[in-house]
Amino acid sequence: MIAPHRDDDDIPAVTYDLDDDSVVVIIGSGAGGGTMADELTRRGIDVVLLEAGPRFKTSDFVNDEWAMNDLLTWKDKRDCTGGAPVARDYPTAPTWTCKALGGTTLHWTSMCPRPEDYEFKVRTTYSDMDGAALEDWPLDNEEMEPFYREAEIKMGVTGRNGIPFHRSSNAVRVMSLGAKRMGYRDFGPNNLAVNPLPRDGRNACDQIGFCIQGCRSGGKWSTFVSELPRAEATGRCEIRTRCMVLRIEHDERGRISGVLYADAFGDHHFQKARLVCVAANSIETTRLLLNSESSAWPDGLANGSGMLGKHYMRHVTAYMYGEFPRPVRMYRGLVAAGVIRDEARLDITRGFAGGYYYGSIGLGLPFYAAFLSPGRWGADYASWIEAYERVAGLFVNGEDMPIATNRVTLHPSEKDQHGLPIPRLNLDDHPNDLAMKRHAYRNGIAMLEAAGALRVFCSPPLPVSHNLGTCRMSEDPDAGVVDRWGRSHEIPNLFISDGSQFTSSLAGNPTLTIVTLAIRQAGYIARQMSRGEL
Amino acid sequence: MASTPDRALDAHATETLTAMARVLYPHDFLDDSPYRQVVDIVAGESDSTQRTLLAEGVAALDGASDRPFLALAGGERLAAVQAIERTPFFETMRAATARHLYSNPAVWHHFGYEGPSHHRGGYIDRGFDDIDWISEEDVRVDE
Repeated sequence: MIAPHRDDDDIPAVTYDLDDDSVVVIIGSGAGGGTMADELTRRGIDVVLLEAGPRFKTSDFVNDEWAMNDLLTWKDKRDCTGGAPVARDYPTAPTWTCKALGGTTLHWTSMCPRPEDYEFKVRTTYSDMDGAALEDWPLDNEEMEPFYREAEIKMGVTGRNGIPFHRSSNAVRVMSLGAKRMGYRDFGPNNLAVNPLPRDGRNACDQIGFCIQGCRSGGKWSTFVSELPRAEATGRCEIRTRCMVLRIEHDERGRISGVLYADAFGDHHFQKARLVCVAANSIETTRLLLNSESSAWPDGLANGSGMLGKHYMRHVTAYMYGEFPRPVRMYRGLVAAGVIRDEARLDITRGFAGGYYYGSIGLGLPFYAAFLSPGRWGADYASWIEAYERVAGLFVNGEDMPIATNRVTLHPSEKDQHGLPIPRLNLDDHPNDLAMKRHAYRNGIAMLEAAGALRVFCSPPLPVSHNLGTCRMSEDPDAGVVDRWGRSHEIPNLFISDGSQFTSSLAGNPTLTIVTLAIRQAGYIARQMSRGEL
Repeated sequence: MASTPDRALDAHATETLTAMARVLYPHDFLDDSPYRQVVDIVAGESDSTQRTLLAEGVAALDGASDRPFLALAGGERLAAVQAIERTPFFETMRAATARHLYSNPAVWHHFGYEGPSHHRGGYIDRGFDDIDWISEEDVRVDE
């Protein structure tokens, strides 16, 4: 039986029968799932991709921060507990991901830092740290290098592989002035997956701003504009949007047999599968596996190790803004146009392990006023909003320590629209996170002042899009959920293809590494299939 | 439980909430009109429960001292708003004002914000790199 399509914008190039057990089912269409669809179909593998959100068109993306937030955001309720500030400020919405075809690549800032060698070996490098459950990745930079290069070329990352940087915007210039006066040496335009010139069927960036509202110029890489159309064009990828996967089922041999999902009308269907790639962003990936418990896996599917949901990582983040005597107009151009790499290094003399990046910020007035400090009001706060045109901002993205109790679990009583428990996130800061944050604030304030800031405002952390580590990759099956290929330690035809497989958070933004791992994983799956082993 | 009839706010409530919105995010260069638009949006989005919350909030502001909120001077209005800062009514108004005041295109030019840019070709040829107080030389790193 053919699955009904309930989204008018889905015009499938191919349809697969619900009983067709030769297809690979991919759950999610963001950096992980979208890349898997492209990489598997180009190798001749048939794919059914299930996406919980709807399919938009580029013309649906308007330059309006709140309107796009309302349109694209995954708004289903979460419950956040713990001592981290985000649990206080955003108790029901601690994350900021997308529910739409293309996933969170629709609103990512497109920063593509490359990890250093030591970042894959945190246990070896940092040795045992109190309160942190460190593991080394079961792979290294040398092995990853060709896949990183392939990912950068696919995504069109500036400043690498012969692709030029964007010219420095006003925001980058202010950041760079401060960086130079602080004695930093490795800073300037960011490595972004945004076209400075037309390339790979994508337009050039018009420096519109609004990168995180759905890119209207089409210059920014997303699976929505690149991988998914390419996968559909092969005639081997059926995308079903507004389809929320409720359970993954296995047979008596302990192999995945298919997935149960609800379509846009709430009707349930069961799609058989040869294998399943879960790429629903860490929170939903984890919730799905927990909700797929069975007599064989009572604590959640593929969770014999008990590690599923543990070591939930985001990143150490901080935001600060300086008011300058003269105009900056940070909203003109790319949102994350500049980067400083000097603090993204291993140097424990700073009082913490791991590194962090600074970036420049370009927000529109509505988001700036809302997120400068949630809950703040009054004349002093209003004076910061009046300074908007003369404000430049810095953000920080640094390595977050894995803690066993920072964890995604199922809410004990509250259910979602499908009758499934909503996810609960517990978040506490590790002392290393706090030491890094203090260092980043101190140097960031000094940097803005060195550039001539009259005063500096330090903002609290925001809901984040980087959700990592809850199905972590490990050599030892008892220490994680998946192996070096993202394959379940326990179920041979179950793969995790998103950021939840990260063993550690790495210092920088995760998307490049998610795409890199997906390219590598797809090659592995194709090889295993051709050998008849999958 | 909703005792307030299902209708828009009365004039007194509208004026009081408009004045409260100005206390929350005061900008001397703005007249009352964008603050009143915030109140109109809040009222328009309200169900009867929410209107009861607003009506009770107005009463609380009026009851914060011996005179109605609108009869208070600036500093006294601030004290009256501070007195109700822990209430759901306060947070409803604060969040709505923070969101809707600065999303109003009519106020943007006061803050130096230009709003949507796609339809004008972005800023690639319209000043994304026009800063005149920092030169390329200022930020060059000597090898």
